[in-house]
Amino acid sequence: MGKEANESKDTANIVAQQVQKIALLKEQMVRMEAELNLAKDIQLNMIPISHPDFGGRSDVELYAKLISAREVGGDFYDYYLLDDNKLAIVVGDVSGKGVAAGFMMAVGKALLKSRAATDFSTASIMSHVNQEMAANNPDYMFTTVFMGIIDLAKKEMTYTNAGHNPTLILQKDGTLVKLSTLHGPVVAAMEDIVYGESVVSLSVGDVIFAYTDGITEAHNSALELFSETRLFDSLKRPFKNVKDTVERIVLDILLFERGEEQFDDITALCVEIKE
Amino acid sequence: MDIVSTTKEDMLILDFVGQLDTGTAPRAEMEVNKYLESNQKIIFNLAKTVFVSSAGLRVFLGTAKKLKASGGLFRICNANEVVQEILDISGFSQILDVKKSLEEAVTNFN
Repeated sequence: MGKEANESKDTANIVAQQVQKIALLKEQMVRMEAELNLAKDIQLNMIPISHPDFGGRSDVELYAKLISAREVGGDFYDYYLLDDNKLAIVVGDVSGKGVAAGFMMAVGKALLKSRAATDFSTASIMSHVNQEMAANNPDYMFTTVFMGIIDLAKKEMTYTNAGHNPTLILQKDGTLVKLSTLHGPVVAAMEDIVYGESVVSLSVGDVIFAYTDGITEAHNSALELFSETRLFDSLKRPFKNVKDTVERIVLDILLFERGEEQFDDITALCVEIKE
Repeated sequence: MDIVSTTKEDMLILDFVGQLDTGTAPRAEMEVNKYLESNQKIIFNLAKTVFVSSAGLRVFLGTAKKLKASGGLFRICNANEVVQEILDISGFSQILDVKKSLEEAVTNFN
């Protein structure tokens, strides 16, 4: 009897210990989830506003949108005026998800902006930022980056594509131009990469559309991809304004997904060249 | 995602079967790391790899860099059309040694 009583006491102890452990784990999980949500907030707060007015200037209009997937993602966009005539635009996608991706996004975004303050060559900016980021990258992370510097006076864009999906230009006559040139691999993967750049002429009425692969790789329950074809169809509808273009594409994606969970971040940045 | 290993002379060939994405990449990375302990010439054969996401590309990059650091060699081969496009757009085909076929990959690998 004594032995049995001891055994049941032991069992009760073990159960109590396990209950305590579970409570502790639950507490840790709640704390971790709160921290992840904080990281997601930080990610979204680092993104500039969707629809800036650039001090009331009328020769350009920009609208951007980032829809974050469930976890902290790695998509980012940025834009800033470098002087009276030069507008820099950036869209990127960091490999992986989570807090580490969020940190890399923050560092990449900051390095690009700081270099662009004194260097107007996107090739040179990208080469420098890559060197900086690749030198200390023990986890083999990387980020795709499209960076364009639009000269609003000369009506041209100098751009560098580092492993990112091609940016599109919807011309006033409805022609869709794909900027297919790749100027180098993703940023931070390898040191000593010398990136190139291209220049494209722009006209009043041209619309630049930069985006991440969360758009083309959005899928429905039948695992069909939204794909470039559907994106082109969406873009080719009559143009109203940049906000309408981006919101319409986002709506097209949501309708296409029909309730499937959004798997990846979705980012679109759209610029109209105006009079 | 399964990884099947075979050897040919002093080369280790790893066949990646299935999808290499956010869900499967961490385990694939752990398995590859084990092979890295005792192999200096590694080929990833992607003949049966359906899709590679950026998490998968990270496994390629990590393997290439670890082998480079230890004086080893790394090649990728047999990517299907979709995977090849991912390698091209991301610029990985510029920084990694990518071959069309396994036959090409095992030739002059030194």
